Amino acid sequence: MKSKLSRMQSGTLRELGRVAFAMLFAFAAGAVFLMAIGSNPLTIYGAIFAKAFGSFDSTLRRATPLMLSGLAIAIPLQTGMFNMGGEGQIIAGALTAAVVGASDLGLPAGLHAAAAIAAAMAVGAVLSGLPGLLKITRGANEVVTTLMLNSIVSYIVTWLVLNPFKGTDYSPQSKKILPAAEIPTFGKLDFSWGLLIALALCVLTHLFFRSTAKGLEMRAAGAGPAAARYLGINNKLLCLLAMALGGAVASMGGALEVLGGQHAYFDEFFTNYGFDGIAIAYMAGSHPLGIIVTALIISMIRVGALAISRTTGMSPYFVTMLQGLIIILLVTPRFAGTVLSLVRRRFPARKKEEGGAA
Amino acid sequence: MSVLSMLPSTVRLTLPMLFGALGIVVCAQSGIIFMAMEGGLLGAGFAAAYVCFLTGSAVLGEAAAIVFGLLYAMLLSFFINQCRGNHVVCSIGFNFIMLGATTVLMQPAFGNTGFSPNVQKLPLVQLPVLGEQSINLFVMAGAVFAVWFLLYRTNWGLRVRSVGENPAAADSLGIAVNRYRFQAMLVCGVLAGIGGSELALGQMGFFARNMTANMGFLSYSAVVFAGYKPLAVVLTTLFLGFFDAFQMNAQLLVDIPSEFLLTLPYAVTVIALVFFGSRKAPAMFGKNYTREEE
Repeated sequence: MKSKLSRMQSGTLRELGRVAFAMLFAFAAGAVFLMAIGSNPLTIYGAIFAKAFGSFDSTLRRATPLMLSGLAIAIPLQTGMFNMGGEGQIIAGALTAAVVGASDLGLPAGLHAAAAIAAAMAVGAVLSGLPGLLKITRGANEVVTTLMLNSIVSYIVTWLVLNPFKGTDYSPQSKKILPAAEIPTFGKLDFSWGLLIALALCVLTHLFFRSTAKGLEMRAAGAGPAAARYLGINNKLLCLLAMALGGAVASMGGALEVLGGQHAYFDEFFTNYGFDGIAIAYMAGSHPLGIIVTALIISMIRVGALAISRTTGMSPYFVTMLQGLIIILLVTPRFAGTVLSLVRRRFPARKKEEGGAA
Repeated sequence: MSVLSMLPSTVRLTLPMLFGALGIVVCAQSGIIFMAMEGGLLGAGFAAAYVCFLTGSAVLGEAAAIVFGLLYAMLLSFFINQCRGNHVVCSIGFNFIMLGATTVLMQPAFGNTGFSPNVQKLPLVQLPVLGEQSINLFVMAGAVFAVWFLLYRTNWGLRVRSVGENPAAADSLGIAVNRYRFQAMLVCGVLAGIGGSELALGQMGFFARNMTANMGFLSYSAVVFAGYKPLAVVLTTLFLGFFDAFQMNAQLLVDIPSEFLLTLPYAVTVIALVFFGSRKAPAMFGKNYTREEE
């Protein structure tokens, strides 16, 4: 019974069912928690969903950097590398874009934005390429070096935005970018054309790994390094390349939000965008198209969280908790089956065909 | 500022990190990537402060933290070993849950969203050279020895290590892979409990929102840096603790922006990894074990 379940074809419908189950279970567990501390779950969930769907354009805006943050994990993962440095890469990219966007380069609209994005991506590629390089040359564990770089980058970015790139004396933010560097929004809606760039990048990544030789080589390097080497694939170089691509994409996410949303870099605005990317990538099984869906899910509950403290007085951290639960349930597809089989073992009389030996 | 004068603060900053790191070592030897120490320390700190707040007894607080650590490890083990979840992602999920839950619960538990009231601290001892330290320093000495002894001088440890190196071979010899991994995680849970209680009751005497501030991740780095060995981990956590103490002292003395000094422990870890990075992890690190026929 159990093995038959795990061998089932994983179609799209089944994937959606899995996501729906995880969300429902997480919300149910969250409701129990809320009732235990004396809050009304209906009010709180009502507020979350009213905000997430009521301001769906905000949800789409937040999903833009989150998709790229997810890709930043998923691309290196294809070669077996873990890029946990999204947090630092995003803020470094965001600040770079803000600084380039605010300087007068004499470029026309569009080109200026492109230059800002390119600069951000270069910075991101260096930030993730360095751990990649240390891994392939010195064997330094990239999980640890990227995590450490998050802290290092965040302190340095804070210093930069308080000193050389200070925009105002009143808050830790950079100068406002020039109009030529702005990415236009869709009319009065909250999200910018950056959303289309992010969507296109997800599709392109999918095609890259699906149908190009380099993409296949990268997947081979991740799936079986020894076999790949035997086929004459330069594993190390591909790992490095995938890491650099991941960082570039993460930084691009930060840049798109600065150029298309905030129009300046605000310190600490991007807290958790990088860690959310880890969840988004794994929830989607690091499938680039799945990332579009999972980024939207995380974006919805994040946007909803902004509303609950204002309208219900509940701490927005409640959503952090829910998110943790959803992440866990989505990466444990066997959760339901395991619980069922434990229940069945405890109450063997209910299902006779298993044999009640215990 | 001499090195000697920084010893007391170095040891104080090291202690909670070292408890966490020891727990991570036991898990790592069994093949489990325990990235959930951040949430473990945070939850244990909360449990310790809350029970101490209710009962006025720091010892009961530490006991509660240990109980919490055990439950935390059991739940994580259920998702990793039973449901075969990805170690890193499940761990990150648990970190999120604990950050969320402890922050939400601060209002009902302490009536304040930022800090708990001051509570009874664990008994302190005055030592030569090391200065004033919590009694957990002695617990730590015992724990380091116990972990080393368990891992390298007992049958249990041999089995735990075999489960981390080659679970299929261990399984063929009748060693229940997931049971040993579960037990290793329980040991880790106890250590996380003591670490969290040391942080809240040994050092601060209160609980603050997100008071671990990456300590769990730092202890994980210390473990990698130590090559997953329990005795080496004492040195690497002391090393990180020293640089933390150093940057705190240096902020008062030299005219370098504090942001740069704050990066020191992290930068030093990266540099250290460049030189000692290629130490070997257990072969089946992070891989869930499934029998072929399943």
